[in-house]
This record gives sequence, structure tokens and C-alpha cells, in this order.
Amino acid sequence: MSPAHPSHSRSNVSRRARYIAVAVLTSVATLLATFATARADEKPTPSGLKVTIDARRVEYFADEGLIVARGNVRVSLSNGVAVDGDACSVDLGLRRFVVAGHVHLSTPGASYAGAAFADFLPFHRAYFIPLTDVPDRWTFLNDDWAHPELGREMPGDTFFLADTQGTAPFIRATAVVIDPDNYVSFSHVVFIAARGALATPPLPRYVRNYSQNPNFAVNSLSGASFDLPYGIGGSSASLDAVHFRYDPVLKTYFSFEHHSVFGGLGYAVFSLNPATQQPKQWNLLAYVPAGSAAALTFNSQLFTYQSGLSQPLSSNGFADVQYTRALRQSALKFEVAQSYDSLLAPTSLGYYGNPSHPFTPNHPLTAALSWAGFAQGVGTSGFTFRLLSGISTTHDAFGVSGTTTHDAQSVYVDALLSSPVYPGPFGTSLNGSYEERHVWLSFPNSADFQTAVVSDSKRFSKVFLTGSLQLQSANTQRLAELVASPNTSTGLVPEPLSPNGLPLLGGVATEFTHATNTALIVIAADAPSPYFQFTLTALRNWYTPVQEPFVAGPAQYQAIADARMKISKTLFLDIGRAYYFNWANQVWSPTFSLQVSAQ
Amino acid sequence: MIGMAKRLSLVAFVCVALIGACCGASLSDPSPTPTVQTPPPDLVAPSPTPLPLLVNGQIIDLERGYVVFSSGDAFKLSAQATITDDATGTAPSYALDPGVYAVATLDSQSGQVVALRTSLRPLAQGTPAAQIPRRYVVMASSPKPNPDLAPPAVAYTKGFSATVGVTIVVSVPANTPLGDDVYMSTDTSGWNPQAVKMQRLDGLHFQIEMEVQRGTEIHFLFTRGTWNTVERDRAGLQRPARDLVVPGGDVRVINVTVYRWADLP
Repeated sequence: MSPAHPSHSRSNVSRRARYIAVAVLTSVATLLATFATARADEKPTPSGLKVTIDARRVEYFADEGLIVARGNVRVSLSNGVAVDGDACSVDLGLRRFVVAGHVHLSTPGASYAGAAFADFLPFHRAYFIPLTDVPDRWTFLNDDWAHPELGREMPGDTFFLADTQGTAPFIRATAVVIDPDNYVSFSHVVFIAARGALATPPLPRYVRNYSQNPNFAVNSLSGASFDLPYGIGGSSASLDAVHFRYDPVLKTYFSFEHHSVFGGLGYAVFSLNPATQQPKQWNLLAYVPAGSAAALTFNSQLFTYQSGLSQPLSSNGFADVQYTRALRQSALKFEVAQSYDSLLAPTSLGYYGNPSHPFTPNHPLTAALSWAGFAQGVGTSGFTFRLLSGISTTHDAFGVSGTTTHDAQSVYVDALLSSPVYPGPFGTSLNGSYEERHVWLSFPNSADFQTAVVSDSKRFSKVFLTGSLQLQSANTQRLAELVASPNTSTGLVPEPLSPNGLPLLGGVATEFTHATNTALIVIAADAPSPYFQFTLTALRNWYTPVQEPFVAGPAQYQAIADARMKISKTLFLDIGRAYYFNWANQVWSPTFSLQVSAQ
Repeated sequence: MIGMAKRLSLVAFVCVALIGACCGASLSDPSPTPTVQTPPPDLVAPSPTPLPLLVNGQIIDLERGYVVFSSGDAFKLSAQATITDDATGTAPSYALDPGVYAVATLDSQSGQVVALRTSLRPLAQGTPAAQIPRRYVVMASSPKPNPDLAPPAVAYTKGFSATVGVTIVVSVPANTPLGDDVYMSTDTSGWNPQAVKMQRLDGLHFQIEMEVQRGTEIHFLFTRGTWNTVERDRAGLQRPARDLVVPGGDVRVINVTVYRWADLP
């Protein structure tokens, strides 16, 4: 072998360098290609874009989650892109839209004529068919409007316009603003019913919120048997709604509710309910996370009796602040609650206007600290237990809970033992639990509550049968010397659930120093299909010391039937009624309970 | 004798071959029966007279001498092209706005549309535009593959059903009141606290069986019927909504646990 010539050696070195360079470039290109293709498996992400559509006619198909616009359509995106065309269809579920027919696309840098444009918002992909001399296919990736990918293959249904033939719209409007992840806001709205036979007069605006943030649903309105919300304003972080409501006492009235959401879990809700009647509740709820393991909760209510916004005849209210902190296997809660039974200056008569609005001087302040342990296993038995405890102090210059005592303290402990579900006889599933709570009060007084439950269940194909025996008891030394307030941290039951702090047995307030209720509950549920469910609940109550209509105790026998069926793609009907077996001459519950709501 | 054996073996061979062919034919293609379509001429046996090519689809634009279908495929309109209503055979009485369905007849020599039959309803005849040989589709740029359209490498999707049976079993805290129902509140219902009613399985468990579209993503929380009784985390703090993604495939059973309710300690 002859030694390598220097020039050969140099050329070998340079060739090797080229190979290395090519190898490096190939590796980098492969890596880039890998990253580029990896997007196909990525989950959709919010685009953050707002879409405004103006057209001669905008229609919203609620069941299908579709918006279809026709005639002089102009779609404007919040990033400056605008698309004009003959027709547009928006799929709110898939968060994509198509504009078709004589399309004109205006991007921040250029304008193009074309046949159709589609934007798959959560995937940051926009597809365009330019049409000048020869049609083409352009794909704008990741909102890069200056460098379209030419000729890139497109999904097969990219420009499909939703077919709404034979379907009546729910709303007809002239413009809509769409925040794809949160809400739609229609302008100049007409609501259509009975397949177009009925239509409302034009209304200025309607906002429908469909956010994935559940805190938009926090409800601060209480006490109506019919509620029809109507969104009048909204953004990705807020919603304003007017509610048309009915209840048997106040009849029909309007209420207002405002929601704000922030930071994923935080929210604030303000409401005025009713807004158009003299008795008014002004509510403010808030939840403010303080890091990942703590949160501040605020719950307040001001009650006024007034016409419009004139000087109230009477007023009362409360405010409750809680700070909750998660620990390793438990949680601590510090709570302060202040109630005012009358917020207006006293009158010489002792009441405002008439005796139904009495002056009550009490304004208890309660501060409490409670501890709640997480469920812990008892060895390897499958049983679990929970321990809870708390201390509180209540001050009222006018006497706590109507007593002459100005300061009362309470301490409570609670233990809950529960079994796992064991196989029972005849193929049944058996489980049970026992809870005991003891409250010491400084009046002095004390209260004990016990609850024991045994349940046995069996499934027959689509029918579920559960029989349960529940024993509850409540004991106290003196009925008068208890604490009832909005505060749960005293260990007693708060208002308005309980008028005196003792638990409700069989659904009725406890008005004896010693009371027990034993309930046999049998629940049969049939679910032959996902579109129909039927539940029948039978109850037998044994209440002591007295179980008598209009005196004390729940109905001896009770049966409740409830049927739920799907009536459209997105709505269900729930209908129920109770039968009391002639308890206090009551055979059936006064009315059916009817609910039509979204599913 | 040998001739007889040969003949027998030949008959046996033919029988086995026939049976094999029959079995093979019956097992070869498990895919669902396609809709009525005219196969493109270059996919069928050569014919002495070229067959007209029928393109089926939804028209999204008709301008500048082109007809564009919702697949994004554009075809050149012949100067002599006729446009008629499919039902009447006369000129359409409706505007040819985007969204009208059509069957376009392509001249297989020139590749141009020589006839366009339109309808306000989908038409059954012809080949979907996306399956037409690419040489008939007019496009300025060279076709480029799209990695986004590559099927996922591992996920198995059940091709015969658009829905997936999903069963959700929820374990509830021991202090859940006996007479209370448990519901799923979902984002798809506008967070209605009674959106999906669950069936009581036993003293500690509830379940619901649902048919869910493939590709569905649902965010949900459990409640006892009102927003004041929504589930919380173990410490009693608010928890983020649960997330259910149904990519496809067979029946799914999901077991989840509620640790606490907002109104109970």
C-alpha cells in the first residue's frame, strides 16, 4: 500500500467534513421534521382569537351548535385578518369556521381573492383556496399569514358548509361576536319558536356563555320555581344576565346576576334578587385562591324591603369570610361571620311601618376555627374513618340566640366510621356507616347527634334496587340555648336549614330535647336507555316522641316518583310527584315538579 | 387408473380452489358497503370509449370559469358547460350559492366540466370530489403531503361505530345523604347542575352509561343537584373540572371518586 497523497488526504478530510456537515444537517432536518409532525398529535389549544361576523342574515342553530351567515358576509378576526364572502358556517363545538363564495381575504400584509377560507382555530391552521388565474391550495400555519404553505394536502371536509335544510334556527340576528372558548354574543336578535311560526320582536343583544370554566355557573339566586336566564353582556371573564323568575309567593319578577371569573378557580358573583319586587336580596359571593393549597371564601347577603331604590323600610344582612388551608392529611378553616338582624335605626314603635317588619337589635359575631381530617383506612379492613373538630366563640351585646348571655363558646368533635361495600346475600352489595357528633356550649348546654346507616343494593340488568335503614337522633339539654347563624363552624346546623341549630330529622326541624327518627328507604331506579330514567323512592318514617300531622315529625309513609326523558338533542324533561298516603289529609304533593333543562 | 386419479385430483383441486376463492372473497373485505358511486375511469378496466367522470360534492364557489367543491378541489368549467337542476333537468330556480350540491360531468379527455346538475339535497351519484384522480383537479402548486393528516400511530378507532359506550362509576363520601341524587354537571349543558342524572349502584356508588361521539371532550363535575352541593377536593377547596376525552375504540369504564361536597364537612 502506498502512503496517501497529501492532496488526497486533504480531499478526504474535506469530503469527511462535508459528510459530517450533511449528517448534521440531516439530523437537524429530521429533528425539525419530527417537531413539525408532532403537532398532529397535540391537543387543541385555545386560539385566543375573537371572531366577529356581520351579514345580511345570521342564524344560530342551538341543537347543532352551528352559526350560519349568508349575504355580504364579513368575518373579522381580532388579529387583524378579515374575510369577505357569500356564506359562512361556524361549528361552535369544533371551533372552526368556513367562508365560501367570492372570498376576499385580507391579512396584515396582503389581500387575496379566493373561493373559500377555513380556520381551524384550536389547531392554529387556516386553509385557503386562492382563485385568480388558476386555483391553488394554501395553508397558513400557526398564524403566520406571510408565508403560506403552498399545495399542502388539506383535510377532506375542510370547506364543508353546514347543511341546515329543514332545520329551524333558534335565533336570527345580523351580527355575532364569537369567543370560541367562552361565549357568543348576537346583535339585533329575534328568537324563533315552533319551527318559525313564532318569533319575538327584535331584541338588542343576547349572550350565550358555553365556557369550560364551571365558575360561570355559580348560582347566587335562590327561591324560584321557574327561572329563565337571558345573557345581556359578557366576555371571556364575565357574564351579565337578567333572569325572569316565578315563585308562588312573589309571582313573576326579574333578577340580575353578574359573574366574574379569574385565575382558573376564582370567581365573584353579585346578584339582586328580586330586582322588581319590594323584598330584595343583594348577594355577593367570592372565591379567591391563595396559592394551590388555600383559599378565601366570601359570602354575604343584604336584605332590604324597599320600592325600587328608595329608602328601605327594613333591612338585615350577614357577611361570612372563610380561610381554608389544606394540610398534609387534613384541612384547617378559619371563619368569621357577622349578622345584623336590623340594619336601620330603631323606631319608637319597635317596628318599621308595620309589625311584620320588627326591629331586632341582635348582631352576633362568630369566629371559629375548625379542623377536618381526611378519610383514613382502619388497618387493612377496608373500613375508613374521619375525625372533625372545631372551636368557636360568639358575641352579641343583645344576647346570643335570644338568651341573656353576651358571649358563648362552643367546641365540637365528630367521628365518622364507614365500611366498604361487601358482597351480601343473594348477590347484593352491603355497606354501612356511623357518625357521632358532640357539641359543648358554654351556656352551659350540649348537643349530640347520631346517624347510623345500613344499605343493601342489588342490580337486575337495567334496574337498580337499594334498601337502606337510617337511624338518626338529636339530643340537647336546653332547646333555647343553642346557636343558629350562617356559620357552620359552631358544630351546629346553620340557618336557614335549621331554626335552632339542631339537625332536621326526616326533613323536619327538631323541636324536642330528645328526638329520633328511623327511616326505611327503598329506591328503585330503571334506566332502560340513556334517553329515559325512572326512579321510585318509598319511605317509611318512625319518629319519636310525637309523629302527628301539624304537631311534629315527617310523614309516616311517602312515595316519590321521578321520570327523566330526553326531548331533544340537548334538552331533557324531568317530571316528579310525591304521594303522602293521606298524611294530614294530604294525598299527593300539591303540584308536579317539572324541569326542562339542558343536558 | 392413473388417469382417473389425475382427473380426481384435478376435480379436487378445482373444488378446493373454488372454496378457497369463496372463503377468501367472504373474508377479504370487512369494511362497510360504500355508497353508490361511479368508479373513476382510470380505476376500472380500459374501455374502448372513455366513460364520463362524475364528480359529486357540495359546491362552495362557482366563479372565474371554475367550480370548487367543499373538499377544496377545483375543476375547470368548459365554455359550453350546461347547468341544470337535477330533479327537473331545467335551469335551477334557486341561486347557486355556496352549499348547493352538485354532480359535475367531466370530459375525461379535456378534464373540464361539461355538465353540472345541481340540487339543494345531497346527490347519490358520482365519486366524491376528494377521490377524483388528481390530474383532473386544477391546482397551481405541486401537491405536498400533510403530516397533520397522518393517522395516530397507536390509537385504535372502531371504524364501524360513530359512538362509544362510556360508563362512569363514581364513589361518593360516606356522609352523602341517602335520599340525594348525584348528577354530572357538564360544560356541554352550560354547567347545568342536574345535566346528567346518575343511577345509585349501592350505598357508596353511582353510575351512568352514555353513548358518546368519538372525539368528544367533556368537562364535568359532580353535584347533588345544585351548585351549592358541587364536589370539592379533600380539603374542601374548589377543584378544577374533570376532563373526559373519548378518542374512539371500545367501551370505556371510568372510575372516579368524590371526596367531599361543598355543603358537607
